[in-house]
Amino acid sequence: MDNALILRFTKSYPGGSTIEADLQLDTRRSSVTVLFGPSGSGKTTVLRCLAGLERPEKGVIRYGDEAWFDAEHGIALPPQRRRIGYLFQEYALFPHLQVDENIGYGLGRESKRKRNSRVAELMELFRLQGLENRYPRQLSGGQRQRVALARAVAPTPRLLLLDEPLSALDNVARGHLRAELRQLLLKVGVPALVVTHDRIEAITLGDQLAVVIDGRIEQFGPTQAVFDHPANRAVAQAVGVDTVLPAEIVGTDDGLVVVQTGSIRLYAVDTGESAASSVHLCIRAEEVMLERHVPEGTSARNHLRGRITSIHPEGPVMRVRLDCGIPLTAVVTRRAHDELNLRENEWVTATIKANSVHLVS
Amino acid sequence: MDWEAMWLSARLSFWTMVILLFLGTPIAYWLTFSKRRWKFLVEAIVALPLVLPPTVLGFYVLMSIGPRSPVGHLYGELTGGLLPFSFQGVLIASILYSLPFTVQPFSSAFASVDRRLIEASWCLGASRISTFRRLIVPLSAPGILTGMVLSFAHTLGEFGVVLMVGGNLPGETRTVSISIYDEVQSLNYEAAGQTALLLLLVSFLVLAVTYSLQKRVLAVWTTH
Repeated sequence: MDNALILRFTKSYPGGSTIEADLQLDTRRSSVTVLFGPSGSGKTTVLRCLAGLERPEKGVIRYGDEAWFDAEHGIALPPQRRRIGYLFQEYALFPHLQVDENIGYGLGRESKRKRNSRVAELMELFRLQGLENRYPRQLSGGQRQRVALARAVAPTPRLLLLDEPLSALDNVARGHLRAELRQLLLKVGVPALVVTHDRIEAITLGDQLAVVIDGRIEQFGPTQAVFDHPANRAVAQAVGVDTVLPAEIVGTDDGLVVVQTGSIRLYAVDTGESAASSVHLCIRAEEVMLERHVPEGTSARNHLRGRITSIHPEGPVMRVRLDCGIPLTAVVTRRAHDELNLRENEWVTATIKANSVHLVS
Repeated sequence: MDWEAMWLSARLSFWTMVILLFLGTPIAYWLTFSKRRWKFLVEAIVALPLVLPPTVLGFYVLMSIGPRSPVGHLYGELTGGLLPFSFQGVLIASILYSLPFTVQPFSSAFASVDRRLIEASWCLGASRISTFRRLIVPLSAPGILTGMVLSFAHTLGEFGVVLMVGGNLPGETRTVSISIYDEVQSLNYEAAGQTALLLLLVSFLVLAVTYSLQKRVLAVWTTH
């Protein structure tokens, strides 16, 4: 492959953990690849080695016919010469520079006229007009993210690296910006590698998914394929604990979207993420509440009667699986488990707020 | 009031500050970012003037700039003059004496620049020097100002080193603190008191202005 990105390297830490990366990406198409895995699995290290911010001990990193790193031949290109764009976790905007100066920072070698027109072009693409003279501290979380992305994209990098791009945002903003981020990445047209530990983010953002567990890439493939057919138990545990179900949008009701999966209908908040009628609905186990009886006078929109199929203790919490016509997983505290006196085969009501039902195309 | 001594001290402090700005910056940068294992040795040497008696420092400076020393010899060849008991000699001693007062604030300011900002700058193609100029210096402005003011104020008040290296030549090496000492020795308390009060006020003013600048103007970038 002409523009393949090949990484095959080992990096170990004094603490004893070792990162072994082995991945080959076709960067001719502008696709988004997600490095997904639990916190501390080594995803960020892979990204930092790619950027040249850390140096592996062994192996190679090649981009096309260009060697970025080659331990045997003593090659280690500094970050300045790799032409990559890096989006840091908290965005790392330069606090003493205004928005336009931040975006233009990487264009130092261009003429002033070229620099200004490139900055103006990006300000428009990222909907930042009018914010030219603001300082980063005067921006909202979403605006900061767009400035950071515009800044990374400005010097026309060959590859974009994004480290937990949404983790610095609050919950509400995160929901809105997930879909927007994907649109922006596609618009920019630069192949991107995104690190996240969030399943919903992985599903929304990625065309391809690489699952990283304990420093190794355990599975790599199209996102849906990895979620549907985890290669092994570790991957299944990483991707498969929450509820992910195919569903159809069947209507709207008072601003809410009604989705049907199997015989069950659920309300979801329309975040405009999916125009298509066939979607996947994702529910985090943490956002499912369990009650003995059908509650009266609650703000939550979705109540499902279901039978408990299994209860597994997981540290301070219990993972409860239900059959409500659809399989559903809930996580409750041990105390709640005791107070509700939950047992297998008993009937309970699962309550899910409409904005906890995430729709993903 | 010994205006001549006041003016001499002001000149000495100014030049010490300026030279230390250019000398202290690379030393502080190296101390902050180098990964050499023997870095601590350099750190200890830079900090020596903090603990050494000024007489000891002055003694060694005097020995090493004398006409028979390599430095003194070279200086004599180039200028035909002598370093001991001259303004230039006192300047060299002052620079060494105030080195830690510049290097330590500089390097703690450099070190407090968020590592990720520096890495972000590298990833945007900026070289290390360019990153230093465009990112680290502006974000370290309060620390750089502190280091400069401290070296100025510290030189203004130095006594032992000047006495060892420069002696007491009016207009050449007789600084404010030596002038005060001299007046007291000759029981001229009124003149000593006036000069001392002026020195106290100037020092206080310089520090007060610096700290207020740090809080109100320069802190804007670094907080948040």
